[in-house]
Amino acid sequence: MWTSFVNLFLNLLLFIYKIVGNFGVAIIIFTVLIKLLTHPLMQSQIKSSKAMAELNSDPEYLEMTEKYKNDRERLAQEQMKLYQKKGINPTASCLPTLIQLPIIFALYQAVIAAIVSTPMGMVDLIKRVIPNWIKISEVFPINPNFLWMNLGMPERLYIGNFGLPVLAILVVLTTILQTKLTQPEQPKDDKGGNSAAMMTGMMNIYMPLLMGFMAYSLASGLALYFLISNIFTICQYAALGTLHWENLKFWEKKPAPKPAVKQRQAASAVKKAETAEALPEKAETKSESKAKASSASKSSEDDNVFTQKIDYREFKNHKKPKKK
Amino acid sequence: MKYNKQLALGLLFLCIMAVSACTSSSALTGNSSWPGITADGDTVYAANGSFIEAVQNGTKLWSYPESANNRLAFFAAPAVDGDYVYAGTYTNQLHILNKADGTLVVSAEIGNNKNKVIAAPLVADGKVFVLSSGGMVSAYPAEVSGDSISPLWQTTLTGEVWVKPVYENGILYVASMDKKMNLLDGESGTVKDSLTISGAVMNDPVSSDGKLYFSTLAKEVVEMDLENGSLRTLLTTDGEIWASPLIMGDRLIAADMDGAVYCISVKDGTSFWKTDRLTAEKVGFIASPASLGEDTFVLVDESGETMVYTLEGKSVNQRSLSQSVYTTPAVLEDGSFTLVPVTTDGTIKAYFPDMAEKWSYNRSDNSAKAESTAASEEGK
Repeated sequence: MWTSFVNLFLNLLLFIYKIVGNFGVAIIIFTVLIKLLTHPLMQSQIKSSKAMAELNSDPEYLEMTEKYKNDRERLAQEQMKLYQKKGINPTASCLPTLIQLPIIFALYQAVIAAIVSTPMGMVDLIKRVIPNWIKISEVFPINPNFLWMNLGMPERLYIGNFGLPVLAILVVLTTILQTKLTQPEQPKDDKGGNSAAMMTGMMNIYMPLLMGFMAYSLASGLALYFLISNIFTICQYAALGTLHWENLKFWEKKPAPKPAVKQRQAASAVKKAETAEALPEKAETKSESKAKASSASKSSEDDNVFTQKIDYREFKNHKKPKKK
Repeated sequence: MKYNKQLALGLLFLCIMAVSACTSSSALTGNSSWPGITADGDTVYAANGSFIEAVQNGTKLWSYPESANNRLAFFAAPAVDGDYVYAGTYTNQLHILNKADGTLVVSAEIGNNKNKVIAAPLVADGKVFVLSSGGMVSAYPAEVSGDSISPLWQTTLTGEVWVKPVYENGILYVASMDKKMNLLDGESGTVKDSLTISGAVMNDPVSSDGKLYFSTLAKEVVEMDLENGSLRTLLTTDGEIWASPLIMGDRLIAADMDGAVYCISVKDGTSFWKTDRLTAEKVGFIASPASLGEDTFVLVDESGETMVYTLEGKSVNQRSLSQSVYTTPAVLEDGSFTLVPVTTDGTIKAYFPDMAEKWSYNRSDNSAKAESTAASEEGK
């Protein structure tokens, strides 16, 4: 099963190579094809990310977070119920990344199998090729050189005696860039049991390192796939208009997220105003009620000192709340 | 904290999975090849991984180096000439050994050690020609004097070289993997001509009566006139051909990777006979056919199925080795032949043309046993 999957990739790669006559270009075209094929998954990822981001400001979610802040298990259960209720798949944002793993492994094996350097490798290649697609004599020998790289070997750009891993560096940078641009900003102090956010945080740190390590140590054909894949993903998000450019302004201090209770107050005030709007017999006018709502919201935002409500951030590490 | 640990472990697992998935494939297709053997009289010289071994009647005469060295790997069939054995390594070195006891006489580095000597060296006209996968062709004096050896000339071709060259009338004919037949001046190494051929040549070309014959991956057996360099397609096969053609008198035998065997006239390519697939599905011929005498030849397929045929296309004997064989059988002076399966224990087996086992040798079994069929027959 796995071998058939690898062979499919190998034959597709060789078929493209037969047409374009350059293995590097073949890998680039292959990558774009794969990205286009997995585009529906990407769309569902974007949708899911959006839904998750919206959920962070949902009053029900905030209330729940507040209510079960000391009971993580219960919180997780309630979160799952809410995800189900809202039709959100919290793992959907990980799916395209996970789908990529077998593609990466299969591509690596396909690249290594195609760039033959031994007689045994050549016998293996001849047996893997689908004769109806490709005549081995037409594609062999495959030229593994692309720009300064040998696509079957780890990439280094030699400046004097020093080999600079240009592609690995580019892979790390584009992975970070892609992560920053494609993920909505996570609240920095959202550690109250949001395991999905935590997982995303961990992935954001480890994925560039993992990708960089693989690009540094494995065949540069694979590193080329990583690079093109990252760039194409950014383009896909740009085309869908969901890039988060604000995440790149790392020099700008971001405002701390609103405390949950205050948000809830503000949300309930807005709700009240809307209810008032729906009941014309009430004395308040529409503008008055909206003004009230906005003043409630504003006062909860601005006034950090007077509020008698408890700031949940002070419950970190189960400390007693300070009396104000 | 608990979640952090779980996630870190998960990611570590992913990393291990990624690296192992990738390295497993490189092990599959990395520095792997099959043994190369050369027969000289009744002795077989085998290049089989870490060692070059001389085996006579199932008994090891010597082995080089004495203990395995990770930096040395021998797969190209050694050349035997005079008092020396010439062996190329997968780290682009030439080792010249004393034929009598296997001691190292001298060794030489051939350019970049990332290249490999896959093609068997050739000794001709007082020179030893060594070719590497980097396309470098080097000529060294065949006779060694002193502690070191320097090349007489070195030429780098445009493509990799995996097959043994042919030397005729002062010209070295070298087939390179970029579908070229290169003609080099034997004295200076200058490339006199480079002819484009239909496909890569995967096994050694053979010369006969002023002609050069070679099979290509483009499913053709090609004849080259050494007089004028003209090329002619003698045979088109159904499958790709890896094995060298065998010339026996006025006939040419070819075996393809689909398991079919062809017999044609050398003169005009007329077909005498052709078999259907002789092998199991997905098994073909990598090893070249070898002549066992005037009118019989031996064929061995990838799965070790060994067949003796007459020139008339009649099957005479058959025996299964049940091990992968890619190496062309080496014929000994008494007409018996040796087979070297792809194993890690350096197995070599010798058979008579009637497929009775003559002897077998196994590196791991130091007390290599010699078995004569006569003895076993007596036992019966």
